[in-house]
Amino acid sequence: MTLRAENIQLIRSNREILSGVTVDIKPAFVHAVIGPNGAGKSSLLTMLAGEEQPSGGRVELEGICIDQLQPNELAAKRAVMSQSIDVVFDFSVDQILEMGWVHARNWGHSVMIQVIEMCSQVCGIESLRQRNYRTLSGGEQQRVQFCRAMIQIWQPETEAESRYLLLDEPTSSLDVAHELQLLNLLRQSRETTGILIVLHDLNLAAHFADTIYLLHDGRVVARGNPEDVMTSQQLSDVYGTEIEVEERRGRPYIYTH
Amino acid sequence: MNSEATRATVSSSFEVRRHLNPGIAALAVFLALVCTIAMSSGAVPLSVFDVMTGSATELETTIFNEIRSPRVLLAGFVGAALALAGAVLQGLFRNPLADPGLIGVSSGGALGAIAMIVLGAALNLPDWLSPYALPLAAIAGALAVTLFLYSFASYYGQFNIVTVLLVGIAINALATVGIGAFQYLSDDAQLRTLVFWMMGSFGRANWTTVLPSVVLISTGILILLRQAKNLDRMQLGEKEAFHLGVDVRLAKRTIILVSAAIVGAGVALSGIVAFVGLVVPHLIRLMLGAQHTVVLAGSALLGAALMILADLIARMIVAPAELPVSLVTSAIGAPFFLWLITRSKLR
Amino acid sequence: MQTFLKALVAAAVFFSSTAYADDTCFEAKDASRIAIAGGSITEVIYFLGEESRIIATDRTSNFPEEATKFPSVGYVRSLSAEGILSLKPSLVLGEDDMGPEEIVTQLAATSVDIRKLSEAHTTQGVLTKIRCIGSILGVESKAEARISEQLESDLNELQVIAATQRSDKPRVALLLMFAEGSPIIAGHDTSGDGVLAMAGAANAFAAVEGWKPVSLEAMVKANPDHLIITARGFGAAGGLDGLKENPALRLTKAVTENHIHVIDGMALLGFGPRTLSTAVSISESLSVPE
Repeated sequence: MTLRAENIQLIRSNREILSGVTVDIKPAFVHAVIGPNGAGKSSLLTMLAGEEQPSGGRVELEGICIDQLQPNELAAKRAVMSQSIDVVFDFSVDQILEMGWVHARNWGHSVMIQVIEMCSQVCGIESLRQRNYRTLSGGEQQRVQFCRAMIQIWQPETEAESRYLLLDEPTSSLDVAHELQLLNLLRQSRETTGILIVLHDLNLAAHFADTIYLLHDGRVVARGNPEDVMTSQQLSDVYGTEIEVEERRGRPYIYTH
Repeated sequence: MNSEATRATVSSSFEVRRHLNPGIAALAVFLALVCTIAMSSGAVPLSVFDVMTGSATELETTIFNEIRSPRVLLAGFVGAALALAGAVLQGLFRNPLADPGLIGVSSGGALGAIAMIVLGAALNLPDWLSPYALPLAAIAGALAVTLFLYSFASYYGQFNIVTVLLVGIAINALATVGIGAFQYLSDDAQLRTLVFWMMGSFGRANWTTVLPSVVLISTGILILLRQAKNLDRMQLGEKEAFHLGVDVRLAKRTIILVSAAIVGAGVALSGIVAFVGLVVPHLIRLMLGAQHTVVLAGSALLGAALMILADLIARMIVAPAELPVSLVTSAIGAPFFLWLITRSKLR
Repeated sequence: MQTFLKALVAAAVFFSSTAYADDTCFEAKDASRIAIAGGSITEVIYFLGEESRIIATDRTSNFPEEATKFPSVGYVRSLSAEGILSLKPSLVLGEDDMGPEEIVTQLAATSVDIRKLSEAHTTQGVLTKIRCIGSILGVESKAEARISEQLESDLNELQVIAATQRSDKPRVALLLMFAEGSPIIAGHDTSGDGVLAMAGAANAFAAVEGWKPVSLEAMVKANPDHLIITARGFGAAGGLDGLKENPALRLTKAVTENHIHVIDGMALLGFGPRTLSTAVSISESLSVPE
C-alpha cells in the first residue's frame, strides 16, 4: 500500500533529469526530498503526481500503474500542493477551498460545508474565508492552498483508507510561526496519509521527516532516517560546500559557515 | 461503506438539485421580460395577446410568426452562444480578454461564410442543401481554425495557452488576408452582401435556417455548462486541475470544439457581432462572482437578453429602416469595456 | 437621316416593349401606396408624374430633392422587412440589387405585392425600366408619351453616338470613390462601363471585371485621356487639388490635361431617365477639341 516510483528515468530534450530513482511513499510517514538546485526534486514530484510519464521505469499507486488510472481516480487518492498558484479572476477563499472538494460523487453539499469549516479552522484560515484570494499575501495564499489540499484528502473518521499528499516547498512564503504550524499539522494528520515534501531547509527536513531522500544530479544518493542520511560528509559532497552536522534533541542539526 | 456514509450519499443528490442561485433566477426572469417586450415591439405595433387569441389581422400574424419570432429567437440564441463561448474561452485561457474573436474562431467562421458567398454559386449545390450552405461553411471555418490551433499546439508538446493566443493572432491575420482576397474576387452584388454581413444583423432570420442552429446551439450550451467545475479548477493552473481530478485534455478539447461550433453557427446566421462575448462574462463576474457554475449560466442568459435588446434597438431606432446590430453592441460595449479596463487598472 | 433615326428608335421601342413581357411588369392590383428601394425607380415615378403614390423611399433616392422627404426604408441592400411593412405599402418596387435576399423572401410571404426590376446597363435598359414601371402602375400610354416628349432628343443623340464608328474613341476611366487611398474604378460588367459605352467612350479598364481598386502602376499604365468621377469620390479625394496630388492619378493624361468630369453618382450610374442625358453630355464633353 504505497505510492511508489520504481527505478524511474526521465529524459527531457536529450538531458537525463532523473535516473534510476526509486521512492516509496508509505502511509503514516513523512518523506522529505532534499538536494541542491537542479537535482530533480520537482521533476520527481511531477512523476509521482502522474502529471507526466517517466521515460523509463514505472510509478504505481497501490500496485496499479499510474497511467492506468483516470484523473478523478487519482485525485480521490492523492493531493498535490504546488509552490505558488496565481488566479486571474476574483475567487473568494471559500470558492478556492471548494475546488478541493473532489468528493461530490459520494458526499452532499452540507458535508462539504462542514468539511471546509473544519479544515479551515484546523489550518487557521477562518478569518480569510470571505476574502478575495487575489488580495491575499503570498504566505496567506500558500496556507489556503494547503487547506485546499487537506480538503481533497479528507475522509470521514469512520474510514481509514490510505491517502497521499505531495508538497513542493509548501512553506517557501511562510513566516517561522506559520511554517512550524503547517509542518506540525502535516505530522499530526499523517495517520493514514503518506506524505512527500520537497524542502530546501535542511533543518526542517531533519526535524519533521521520518525518511529523507537525498537527490543529486537526478539520482538518489542516500535514503533512510535523518541521522543516517544527513551526515556532514554526505551533505558536503552533494552541496559542494562545507556543511557541519551535530545532534540536537535526537535529530541532526545542520549549520554552514 | 458504513450506514452513516450511505445516508450522506442519498441526501446529497437532493441537495445539489435544490440549489438555484438567486442571481441566475433573476436573470432568467429578466430574459423572459426582454423576450416579451421584443416580441411585442417593432416597426409594426402589435399585441402578443391579440396574436395568441387569433384576433390579430393576417398581416400582423404573419409578421409575428414569420418575421419577428424567428428573429428574436435567433438573437437570443446567438447572444447566448457568443457570451457563453466568451466565458468558457476566458476561463480556459485564464485571460479576461479572451474572446472568440481573439483566438481566430470568429475570423475562421467569417472566412468560411465569405468563401461560400463568393464561390457558392459555382458549387451547384442541391436545393435542399443550399439554405444550410452558409452556416455549414461558417462552422467548418471556425472548426478548421480550432482544429488547426489544437493540432499545432499539440504537435509542439504542451498544449500551452500562450501558444494558442499567438497562433490565434497569426490566424486572424491570415483570415483577414483571405477575406480581402475574396472581397477582391467578388462581384458588385456579392461585395455589398459581404459588407452587410460583416456588420451583423438578425433581420434575415427564417425558420428554415434558425431551427437547426437553435438545436445546435442549445446542445452546445448544455455541453459547455457541464464544464463549469472543470473550468473552476483550471483557474488554479492546468497541472493543478489535473491534480484535482480534471481530465484536462478532454476538457480543453470539448470546450474548444463546442465553442467553435456554436460561434460558427451564430456567425453564419447573423454576421459578426462584436463585444458580446467579451463584455457579458465580465458583467456576470461583477454581479455574481467568478465561480463558473454561475458565470456560464449567467452569461448565456444575459447574453441572450442583451442581444435581443440590442436587436430591438437596431430595428426600432431608425424605423422603418434599421441599423446593423454590431453598431449597437459596439456602441454600448466598447465604452463599457474601456471603463472595465480603467477600473481594473486603478484597483 | 432624321426620319431614318426616328424609325430606328420606333423599331427599338417596339422590339423592347414586346420582348419585355415577363412576370414582373404586369399591372399591380393596387399601386396606390408604393415603397421604393432604389433611386432610379424614384426618378422614373417622378418622370411619370405619379409621385403622389410614393409613401417611402430609400437612401439612394436623392433625385429630385423632394423625394428625400419621404420616410426612409434605409439602404437598398439592407432593408428591414418589418420596417417596410409598418408603412403599410400596397406595392414594393425594388431595384435589381434590393436585399438582403431573405428580407425579400419575408416580404413576399406577406400579402404585399413586391417587384424586383431587372436592370440592363444600356439605353434600352433605361427605356425598359420606364415601361415596366408604367405597366405596373397601369399608365403605359403615359409612359410612352413622356418618353417621346422628354427623352426623344437624348435618344436620338445616343443613336447617333452608337451609329458612329470611331477608331480613336477617347479612353476614359470612371472612378467611383477611394478605398484606403486606392481609386475604385469601373471594369467591365458594371453600370459605369455601360454609361461609357452609351457615351461612345472606351473604358480604359475594360480588362478588369467589376468595381475594383487599382494600383498606382496600373493607373499610370492605363493612362486614361479622361477621368469621370462621382461627386462623392471627388469630395473624398479633396477636390481638384486632391486629385492632382493623388499618387495614382497625378501622372495620368486625364489629370495633367485637366480632363476631369465630376458627375452626381445617381445621375451617372442610376440608370434612370437622367442617365441618358448624362451619357449625352459626357459624349459632348469628351469630343470638345483640345
